[in-house]
Formats: sequence, structure tokens, C-alpha cells
Amino acid sequence: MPRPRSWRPDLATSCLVLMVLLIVIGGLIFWRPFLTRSSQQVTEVPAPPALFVLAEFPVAPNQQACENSVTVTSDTRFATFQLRPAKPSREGGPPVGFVLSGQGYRATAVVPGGYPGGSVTLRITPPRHTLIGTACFVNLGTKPVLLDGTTEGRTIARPALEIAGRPVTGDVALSFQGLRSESLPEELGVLFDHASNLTDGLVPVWLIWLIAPLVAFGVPIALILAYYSAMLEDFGDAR
Amino acid sequence: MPLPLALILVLAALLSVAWDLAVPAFQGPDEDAHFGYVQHLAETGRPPSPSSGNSSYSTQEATLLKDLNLLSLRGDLGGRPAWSAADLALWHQAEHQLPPGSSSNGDGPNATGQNPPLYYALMAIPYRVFAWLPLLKLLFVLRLFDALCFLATVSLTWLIAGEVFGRVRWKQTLAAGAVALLPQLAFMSVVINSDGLLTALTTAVLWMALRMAIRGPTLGRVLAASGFTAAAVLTHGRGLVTVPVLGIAILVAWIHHRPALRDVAVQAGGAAATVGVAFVAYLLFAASGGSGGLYGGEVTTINTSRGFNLGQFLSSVYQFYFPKLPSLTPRIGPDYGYRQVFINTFYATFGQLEVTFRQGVYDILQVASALGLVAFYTACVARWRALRRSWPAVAVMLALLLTLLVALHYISYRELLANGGVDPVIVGRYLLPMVSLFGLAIAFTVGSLPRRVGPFVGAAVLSAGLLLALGGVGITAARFYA
Repeated sequence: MPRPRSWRPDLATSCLVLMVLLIVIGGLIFWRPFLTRSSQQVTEVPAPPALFVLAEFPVAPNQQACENSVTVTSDTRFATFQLRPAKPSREGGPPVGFVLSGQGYRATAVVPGGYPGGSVTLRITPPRHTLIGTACFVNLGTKPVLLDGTTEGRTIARPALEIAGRPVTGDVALSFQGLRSESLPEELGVLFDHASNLTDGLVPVWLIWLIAPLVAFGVPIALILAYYSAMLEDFGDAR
Repeated sequence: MPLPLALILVLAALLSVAWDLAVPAFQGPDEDAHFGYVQHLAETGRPPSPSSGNSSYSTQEATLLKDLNLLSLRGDLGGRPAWSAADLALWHQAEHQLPPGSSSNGDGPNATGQNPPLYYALMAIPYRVFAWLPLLKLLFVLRLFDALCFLATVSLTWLIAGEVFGRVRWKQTLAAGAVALLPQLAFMSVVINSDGLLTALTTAVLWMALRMAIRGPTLGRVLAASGFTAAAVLTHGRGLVTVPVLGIAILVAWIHHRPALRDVAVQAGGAAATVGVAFVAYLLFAASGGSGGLYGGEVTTINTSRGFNLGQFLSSVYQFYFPKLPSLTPRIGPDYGYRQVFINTFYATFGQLEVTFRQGVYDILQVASALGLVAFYTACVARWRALRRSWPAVAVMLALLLTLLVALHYISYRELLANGGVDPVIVGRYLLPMVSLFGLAIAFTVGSLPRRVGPFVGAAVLSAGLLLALGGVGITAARFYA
């Protein structure tokens, strides 16, 4: 009576199992921090900060700096920019009003005086629908204030800047954020929406929802099968 | 087509589509300028001038760059594209109001205008076919055509591995898979940039050169290798490195296979004529376009700039790889060397160099690369006799490796002299023309291990490559869209 042989995987199957394990375990170690880390959702960046050389735009008392063509999305809750007193003093910087306006929309917020300078984030009321409007920084104090931005040709964005009604080359750096701090998987819908818009709708959002899992699972499966089939061809059922 | 190759090509195609989506328009290295060349050539039949003209971009491209904040986005991690439907509507409005001729007035100055025209002429074909599409859609489609070069490079690596290792599928899969999964190559596959075609053509030169050296120099093989070399020369200045590779490959093939003198004469004439015709054609094209001679005069400028010192050059190369010895004067230029070129920007640096993994990932890659090099050296020593028997193939591969490395170091040194030590110019993607050697080295090293170990190490290498490849797409998409 033949003795029952214990099953031992062949070389190809062993490699297949190893790859699956390495990809799953490696993925958990390598990607997990990236996938689970939460970060404040950016809803729009009308004008990015300078890349190399910071530009400071002075705004005199009772004057304002305005940027047009600023997109404010309906999920925007905060606005962030940088400012500092023109001359460092114990009293700090003057109060600055921040006004967002567009067709049928106006939102205001104030940076109270007395700050030493740096980044400020103001809570704002969003429009009902995403719109393209104007952002104004109004010096409400009695001393000049400096708004940080850029005059670098490569970082000047779409908005046009006016200070005290006069056109100025450059942009005051401004960004908008959403309400929640979200991890990447939570933000996928928004991310795909942005990606689709940047293809001008050639790749609609629903198609990206199909492509993403196809890539995430199809690429590993194709790789594992390629190696497995190659091993089978070379080694057959060798152990 | 063998099943493993078909599956790797599917994988590569999926990665290209993912990269096309992950990278917004004009966010690849110099993509705005390369697209400007394609557009101007397709619209007017002439290349843009590298040094003069009225506008670097066409009005259409400049408007898109401005309206969707794509110019300010480049390299600035604080920037995001204008990504909302309202932004897109604004761009549509602007695009419809552009006056006639808005896509054909980017006559220069455009730095890529000094490049030879082959890549741009090839890309002008899909541009003309799809010119009716709005610009953003057109760019997405053109990038898919660009990705064909990536698929060609992967396929050619498979063929080269077949020439070198014989019909050993797992080694071919390992070599081609390692190339397909290299994040930098997959990223560059969708960037409008002549680097992709140059990589494919250099890989094709290596393939045909190896066939010549291994199987013998038939006229067909010599002409094919010369044709690929001519195409590489017509694609980019860095394509010139294929000329000595071709020469060495023919010489090696003659020495090894000893063809009749008459055949030697015919083959030499055929090779010289093929490459010579390419140079003459390019010279005529450059003269008609006013781009300032071959490669915009850059080759002449590099070689005639003052201050070349052989000792300083050799010291500079040494300090690129190793810490400075007390007796050496410091290398000119910034603190820039092996790590930045062979690790950071060869494996995975995306966008305009601003999208990177955590530094720890590069530390691991550097250690893994060093271990790989030691293992490769050990395998070479252990299989020395086999390598000696295969000396024609080894000589051809070494020719490509050394020619490209020496050329890059020379260009970097000359550029540092010329720009006052500000910019070393070379980055890891300039190594991609020899990416097939990277795949072959992995397959050779892993294939030299005992059979109980080698296939498992190969599985581990491919798995690690996969994690990097998908991770690269992920961090890039998050940088631009989150």
C-alpha cells in the first residue's frame, strides 16, 4: 500500500505565496501611515506662497489689497494668509479685515490687532455654490501692515492684485481649507473629482473610480501572475 | 507573445494610465517647454527658437498655465491647481475667446528648441490627429502616446534579457519587471519630454548591438543598430552616447565572428551612411530653423568653455561617489553626488523634483542598492569564467554603461564651470537610457544565487518594486489633488 505523500508546494507556488505575503505585509507597513494620516483638507489655493524669495506687500492704514479671480468653493471654511506689522513694535500689527465677495455672496472676518506676525487662519462663511470672486485685505488700523506673497514670475497665479486701487505685480499668498481634517481614503471622492476636472472631463469621475481599483489590484495581480507563469514555464512543478 | 511579458505590459500600461491621471498638465520636468515645441512644430512645421522669438508659450498654452494655476504650481508644494468645476468653466470661457493663431504663436525663446526634432515630429502626428480636442484633453491623449515608449523599453529589456540569459523566463520577467516597476521611469512615461523616446531608442541600440555581438554582424543587424543610433542622435544630444556604443559593438562583433573583408566593408559603409545621413539631415533642419547649429550649439559651447582641468575633473568625479580625501581640493558646485543622482532622482522623485517619499525610504534604497552592488560584484567574481566566455556581450554592455556615465560627468563638470558652480545639471532620469542594464544586473545577480534561494529573492525584489511603484502614484496624486 503506497504511503500518502505530504503536500509540498512547488517552487512557483511558493514564490506566489511569498509575493502575496510580502505585498500585503509590506503594503501595511509602507502605505499605512500615508493612508491613515489625517491632514486639513485644502479646498483651493488661489495664490501659493513664494518658492524662493518672499515678497511683502505694504498696505497703508484705511487702504486695502484686493485679489480678483479667487475661487471660493462651497466646502471652504477657513482662509489662511500671512501678515506682519510693517515695523516691529510692542503693540503688534494693526487689525486687518478679510472680505470675500462674489455674485450674491459676501463673507467677512477680522484679524484682531496686536499680533507679532506670521500665519493666520480665519473662519469664513462659505458660499452656497462654488464661485469666483474677490478677496480683499483691509487695513483697519493706524499703522501699515505687510502681507506676504510672491513676485516670482513662476509662482504668480491667476488672481490679479490691486493695492489702494492700483495694479501691482505679484500675489498675496492665500489658501482655503475645509472643515474637517481628513485621511486620504476619506478624501478619495474629492481627489478623483479634482483629477477628472484636470483632464477636462475626458476621464469622468466614475471612470476614475473604476481605474483606481484596477490599478491598485490589477498591477499586483499582473505582476504575481507574470512571475508565477514564468516560474511554471522554467521549473514546472519542481520543488 | 509570452504570457509573462504580456502581463508585465498590462501592468506597465495600467501604471502609465495611473500616472497620466496623477500628474496634472505640465507638471513633469520641463513639460511645458517640450509641449511648446510639439505644438509649434505641429502647427507651423518649424521648431521654436531656443534663443529668440516673441513668446515662450503659445497664447493657448500660456492662458491654460495661468488660468488653472499650473505655472505657479510647478515645484511649489504650497500650490494646488485650480481644480474646481468653476475654474474649469472659466478656462473653457477663455479658451473659446482665444483669437485665431493662439496655438501657433509660441515661437520662442524655448530652451528645448535646441533639441533635435525626431521626438517632436513623432508627437506632432497624434497632435494633428487630435488637434480638434480642447487643450487639456489633447495633452492627456498625447501623454498616452508617449507611454508607448515606456512599453517599448519594457519589451526591449525582455528581449535583451533573452539574448543575454537565453530563454529563461523568470530571469526575463525579473529584468523586465524591475524596469516596468521603476517609479521614475513609469512617471516619466507620461511626461511630454523627449527622455522617454531616448530611453526606448538607447535600449533598442543595446538590444541590436548585443544581437550583433552574440549572433554575428549581418548587414541587417548592423543597419538596424545604426538606424536606432541615428534615431537616438536625432532625439536628444544625450543620444550621441549611442554612437561609440554602436562603434564598439560592430568592432567586437567583427573581432569575435571574423566576417569576410568584403562584408566588413559593406557593414562599415552601411553603418556610417545611416548615422551620417542622420547628422546631415539634422544639420539641414537646424540650418533652416535657425536653432544655432547642431543641438543648439550646446555641444560646441560645452566643449569650448574655458577652465577645463583634467585633474580637477577626475577629482570632481571621485568626490561625486566618495568622501573628499584631505589632499583633494573641494569639488566645485553644491553638495551633490551619488545619493542625489543614483538614489533619489533615479528611483523616485516626481513632479518638478518636489514630490518625494520620506527620507527613510531613500535611506533603505541606498542600503539596498549598496548591498545589490556588492552582490553583483560577488556574482561577477563567482561567474568570472562564464563572463569571459561571453566577453562580446559584456563589452557592449560596459560600453553603454561607461559612455553614458563619462558623458554625464563630463557635461556636469563643464556646466558647473560655465554656470559658476550653481547647477550640476544632471539628475537621475538622465540614467534612464541604460535602465535595461539596471534590470539585467538584478536578473544576473539574483539568477546567480542557488536555485533554492534565487527565485525567492527575485520575488522579494519585484514585490518591493511594486510597493514603490504604487506608492509613487499615490504620493503624487495626493500632492496635486488633496
